[in-house]
Amino acid sequence: MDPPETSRRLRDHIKASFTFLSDPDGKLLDVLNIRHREGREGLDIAFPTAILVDNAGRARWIYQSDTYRQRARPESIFAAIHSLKHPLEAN
Amino acid sequence: MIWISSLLVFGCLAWCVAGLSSSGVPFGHEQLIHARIPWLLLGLVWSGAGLGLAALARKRKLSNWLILGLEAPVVGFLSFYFLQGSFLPDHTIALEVGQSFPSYALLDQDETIQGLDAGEPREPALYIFYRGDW
Repeated sequence: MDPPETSRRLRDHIKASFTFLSDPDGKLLDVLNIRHREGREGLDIAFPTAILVDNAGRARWIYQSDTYRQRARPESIFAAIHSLKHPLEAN
Repeated sequence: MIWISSLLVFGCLAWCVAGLSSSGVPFGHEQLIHARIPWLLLGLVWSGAGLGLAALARKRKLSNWLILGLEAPVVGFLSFYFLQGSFLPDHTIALEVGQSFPSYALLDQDETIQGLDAGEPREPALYIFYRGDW
């Protein structure tokens, strides 16, 4: 929910090569129902969430957590990325 | 009575520590917070605390105060630890595996609009929603 200039500062600070999207009004958070109202010092934040999307735009792996103290673990993320090689099983 | 009380409270603490170390799950991991609330364990802990209070009410001696003083943080911690998940608002994500990631048009860090429609072909991507600003 940070504005772009905050994201730019963070990206420069950690020398990240990936894109930071800003959702200051939390529009996408509301579509996904992951806005944590007053989650940190009275401000709205996102519930930590990670979504892996395939080349057809479908969610292939979703991680959700209850508090900002918990995030997806790298080994889970890499395992999910690895599984993208397999086609999505029909539900 | 105070000894039964401390046996219950510290016994439950030992049970949790033993359970945690044998499960191999890191302490505070989401699996524990998402897990069902262990009412049996909490019931035993709270009974222990109740017995301790009753013992203190009967005999206000130093040893009872000391034991209850040691039990109090254990009872508080275990109650908080196992109930913290129930104080959080409902936030079941409105997306399932296999569904299309929603359309969006958002500014990136260089104030350029980045947008994709739901279902539009793209490079695979990992979207990470983080708390921001640190």
